[in-house]
Formats: sequence, structure tokens, C-alpha cells
Amino acid sequence: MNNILWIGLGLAVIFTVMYNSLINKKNQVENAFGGMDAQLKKRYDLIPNLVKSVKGYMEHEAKTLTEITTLRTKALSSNISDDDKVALDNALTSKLGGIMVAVENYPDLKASENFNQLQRSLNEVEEQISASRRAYNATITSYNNSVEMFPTNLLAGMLNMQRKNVFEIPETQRENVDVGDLLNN
Amino acid sequence: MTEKTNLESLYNSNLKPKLSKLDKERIEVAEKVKKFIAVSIIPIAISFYLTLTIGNELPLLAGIGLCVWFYFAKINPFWQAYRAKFKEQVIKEIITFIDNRFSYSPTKKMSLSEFKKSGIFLMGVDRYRGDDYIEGKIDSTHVEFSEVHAEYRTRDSKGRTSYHTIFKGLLFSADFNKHFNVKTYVLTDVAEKMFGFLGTKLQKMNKWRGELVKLEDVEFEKEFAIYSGDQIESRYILSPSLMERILSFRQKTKKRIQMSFVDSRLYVTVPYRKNLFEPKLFGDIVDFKNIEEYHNDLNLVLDLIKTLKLNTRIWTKK
Repeated sequence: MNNILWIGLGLAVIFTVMYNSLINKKNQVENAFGGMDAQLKKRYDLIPNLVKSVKGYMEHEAKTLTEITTLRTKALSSNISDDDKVALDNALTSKLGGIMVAVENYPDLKASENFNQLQRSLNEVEEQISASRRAYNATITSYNNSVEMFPTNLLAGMLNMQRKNVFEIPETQRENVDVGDLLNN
Repeated sequence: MTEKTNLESLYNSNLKPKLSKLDKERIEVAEKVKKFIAVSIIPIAISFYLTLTIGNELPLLAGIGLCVWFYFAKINPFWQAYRAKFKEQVIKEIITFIDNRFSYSPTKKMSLSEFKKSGIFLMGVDRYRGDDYIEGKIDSTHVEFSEVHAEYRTRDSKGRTSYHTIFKGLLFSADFNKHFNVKTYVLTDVAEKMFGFLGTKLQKMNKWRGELVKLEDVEFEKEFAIYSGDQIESRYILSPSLMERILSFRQKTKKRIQMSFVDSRLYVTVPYRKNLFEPKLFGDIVDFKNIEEYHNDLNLVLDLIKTLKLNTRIWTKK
């Protein structure tokens, strides 16, 4: 009788620990997504300023600038899914990258202090966004490990917790980074 | 290679005459030390004999005490004077050769409060020494470093105190090129190397320096354990390219470097067994190899600034 009681108690403890660790990891993923979202918002806040300050100079890129503004408005609207958010964000990143490369053709713009400051802020936000993506991926990996590894996978199955996908950095963005490095050297 | 030929020409034109002059002084000091050793055998032998005959250790202690006193009062000042001259004339010249924006203070050191602020070592410091302080501004990056030696004290059951090293080597501090708010530590990964997966578990329980940060660079993770108050900010500081650079510095120098990012500065500790930038007492000093060694030790630090690209100022911090 006594033995059964102890075994039952032991199982309950193990169950609680596993359950809590799973929930903890699930919440960390949500938290990390929130962190990423916060960084993305920072970039959205920069965009109107950027568009305003480059508009006068960049006649040829007027179309891209309009697209950027549209993308921003879309991304800020409340009723979009997480996946859409990620897709919009990727589109925005590549468009902004294009603008930053095009700036090379406008020496006046490049020399302006105001633009310089904006560019620095944008660089900073980009780096922070990338950091938050990496943080997000780290929590996803830890969550996925728990969902797929024994013995937590049994409990995860019962709770219907499923594997989540890591955030993939689009191919174009990787190339952009390389170009930036080449210019620096 | 050109760096070496430049150094050689500096050696031949400037350093060699100075070294020849200094070498004469060194020989004088070395003679004094040799004489001292030869002469001090006598009082020690007498006191040892007395100790044996009386059966009391007092005479021997007195004899040793006398010799030690004599050394510090009569011999050491000459050695210190020679040492100071050597540093002022030779080490300073090499530093200026490497980069004339550096200033050198042979007797100054990185303060204990800086050492503590770096947070790389948590143990309480009972004795703190150091010298060879070098400071400078390389473009927008303020840099300072010195040799330091931090120790803690223990007392055994007989009441004897002894000191043990916490850290000995170079403490380096530089203005970091990004803004940040929380503290991040990049430490040698001992637990994971020794205990693998269990080591990681242990590290997670260590909350002294914030949370354990698991980075995606596998090689980097093998070498270092990272702690930070903020998961995102630690990754903002440790960008993939910075991780690669730190790792290549670690592999190139084979030094167990540790670092921290505190208060908008970067702290790095590079451990050394030997005393850096010290002159020799015995043996010829007019030798290019010696100069090259001083140069390489100093250059390592400069290399760190270059490797980490602290002068890349593309973020809002100028």
C-alpha cells in the first residue's frame, strides 16, 4: 500500500515537472515572438521619417517608396496572422535594402546629416531585428526538442503540442549581408 | 613581414644604442645581486649553525630577516631604477612604434573598480596589483589596458596566510560600438566541455549573471558560455560576425579569453603566466628576439581591436 502511494506521488512529481517545463517553453516562444514584434514596430516607426527625408531626392525610386509605405500600413493593421506578418516583414526588408543601395547614386542625400542619422537608426534596428529572430529561433529549438524528445514527447502528444518552424532568413537577405561585408572591407 | 622589417630598422636605429647603454647598467645590477647572494651565504650559514647548536630557530630567522632587509634596502633600488629606465626607454618606444596614439604609464594599472565592474570574476579580491598601463583613442574607440594580478587570501589552521591567483594577465577595456542596457558575459565554457548536456543544465541553474544564452554558432558555443540579462540584446551585441571574430581571435592566440559587455564598454581578460613587458636581469638584452617578443605581446591587444572591428560605427553610437 505504502509503495503504491510513493510511486503515485513520484509519478505526480515527474508529471508536474514535465508539464511545467513544456508550458514554460511554449510561453517562451510566444514571448520571443513578442520581442521580435517589438523590434519590427521600431522599424515601422522609422519608415515615415525615412520616406519623408529621401522623397525629395529619389525621383526614380518613388514607386519603391510608395510600396514601402503600403507594406507598413498593411503590417500595422491589426487583423493579420503571424505568418502574414513575417512575409510582410521580409518584403519590407528587401525593399528597404534596395533603397539603401540606391542611396549610393545620390551624393547630396548621402551627405545629409539627417539622413545619416536615419541610416544609423535603421542599421541598428535591422541588427536588433536579426537578434530578436535569432532569439526566437533559439526558443523554438528548445521547444521543439521538448516536443520531440523522450519522455516529454509523450506528454506533448497528450496536450496536442506540435513542432513549430524556425524562422528562416530568406536567401536574398543573406546575399545582402554579404554585399555589405564586401563594401566594408 | 613589412611590420617585422620596420621593427628591425627601429631596433637598429633607435633601440640598439639604448639597449647597449642599458645593458651596462643591467650588468652592474646583476653583479650586485650575484655578490649579495655570495655574501649572504655567510650570515645564513652562521645563523643556521647557531640554530642547530641552541636548538632554537630564532637565529636562523634573524639571519634570513637580515638578508632580506639588506636586499630591499641596498640592492632592490638599483634593480627598480634599471627597470624603470628600461620601460621608459624601450617599452615606450615599441608602443609608440605600434601606434603613436597610445600613451604609456609603466607604474599605473587598471583600477580595482574597473576589474570588479567587468564582472568576469566574482570572487572577492584581497590583493590587487598591476602595472604597464596603456591608453589611447583609436579613431572613435577609447581603449585602455594594463597588466593586473588579482588574488584572494586564505588562512590555514596555523594562522598562516597565503595568496592565490584569481586572475593574472591583461585586463583590456574599450568603448563598444553599439548601445546596450544590460550586462552580457562571454566566459570560458568549463561545465559544458566536462559534463556535456548535464553541464548545460548546471549552467542554467547559475543565475548570478542572468540567464544562460544559447547561441546558434556551434563552435562558439563549444568555447564559451554566455550569460545575459536579456536574450535579444545579447544577440544584438554578439552578432554572427562578431562571434566569428571572437572565435578566430581565441583560436589564433590560443588564449582563454573571457569578456563582458558592461556600461557600454567591452572588457576582455587575456590570461598570462609570465610577467609582461619586464626586462631581464641575467642574459644579454641587446637582442632583436626580445624586442620582437615585447612587440608581439603588445600587438596582440591591438589585433583585438582590429579583429573585433570596434571602429565600425554604422549604428547610432558614434
